[in-house]
Amino acid sequence: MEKIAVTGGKGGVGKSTIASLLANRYLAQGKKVLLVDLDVECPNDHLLLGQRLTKPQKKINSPYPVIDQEKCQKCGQCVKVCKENAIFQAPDQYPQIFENLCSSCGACWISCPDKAISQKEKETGRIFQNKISDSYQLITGEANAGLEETGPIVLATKKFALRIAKRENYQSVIFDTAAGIHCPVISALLEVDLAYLVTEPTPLGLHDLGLIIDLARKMKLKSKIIINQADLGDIDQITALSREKRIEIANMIPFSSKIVKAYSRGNLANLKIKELL
Amino acid sequence: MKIALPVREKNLNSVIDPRFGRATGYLIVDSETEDYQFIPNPAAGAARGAGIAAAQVVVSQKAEAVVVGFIGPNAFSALETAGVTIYQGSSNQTAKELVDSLTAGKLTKLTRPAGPPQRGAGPPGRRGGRGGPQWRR
Repeated sequence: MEKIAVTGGKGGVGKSTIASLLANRYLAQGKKVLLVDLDVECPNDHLLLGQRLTKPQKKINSPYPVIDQEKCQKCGQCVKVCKENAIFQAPDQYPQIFENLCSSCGACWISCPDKAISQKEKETGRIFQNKISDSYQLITGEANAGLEETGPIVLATKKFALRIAKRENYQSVIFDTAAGIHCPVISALLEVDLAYLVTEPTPLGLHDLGLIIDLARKMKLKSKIIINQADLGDIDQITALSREKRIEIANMIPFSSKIVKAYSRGNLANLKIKELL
Repeated sequence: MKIALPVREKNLNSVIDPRFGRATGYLIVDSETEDYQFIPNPAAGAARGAGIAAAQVVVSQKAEAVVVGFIGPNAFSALETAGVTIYQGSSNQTAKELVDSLTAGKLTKLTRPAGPPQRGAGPPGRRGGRGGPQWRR
């Protein structure tokens, strides 16, 4: 089973489109493909593929701390270990949990010396499953609107997807990540075999490519660059960056109104373009 | 009593920093002696939760009142729970002047937070904050 991520830092460069085209290529090679939409704050792979997200296959719950006032000795240890500043303690009072800041990391209940913090589950997202064909499935993770920390939603969706991939013998699992370089993206990039860094020949694309390259480096992630809409701008600085950082450019995709029309109509699954990827 | 003020500079001549959780630091002033201490803000650059961290500084220094420009909902709730009185300050008075105004009973108490939670410069940064009292820069 090969796990490939499509990421890129800058939003709107074409990650989801390229993830779908990659899926098409692997399908054409006779592989069974699982496409996993890990842009859980704004998932839209289903739109490109003309799919609808109707009934969730699974609800995602996250644990939140609850202070047991009978056991709590007001020592303040939980306040110290919380890296999100989600716990506040007024002098001589019980600690107060700010759930909207909590990322469910568990540091507080693990470190409480009196075992005074239990957990309650709250629904924080959901997973949808769409069977496109016998050899092609789309898994979509979706976080609750307004959820402060969506990394856990990405991890839950990934876990669900990989379980299906193993059980049903999918050869390729493609993770479409969110834009940016923060927790939801990092969670999506953990333990993948290869990451495609998608960029575009603009100053914004170049800048954000630098950022995602640095992240990939820190994560020791094998990466390759894909320049989308490569004929619309000057690629020299991107090629220079790729040489400097020693990351190969896997593909340069010219602008294609065929692709734009296909994804606008939700018809990307049926698009056959030989020269791409 | 002790009064806490979010400030830019480390002395009583400083104006207050309009964003409670993102101030450079906090002056803890004894309203009777005008002795003061400056505590740097431990969470100025934190992605989230800066208001809570700031509130924690205030209560750990045993301040009974704070004077703010804007204060978000998390810090407001925390200070309210702790019984700290929150007063509305203005942009054109120094910390010393605000402390004097407070003790003279000229400052208004805030009954609700002004503005949304402020995100920090950690990735990804976003600045918000609207509404609340007029703030002249």
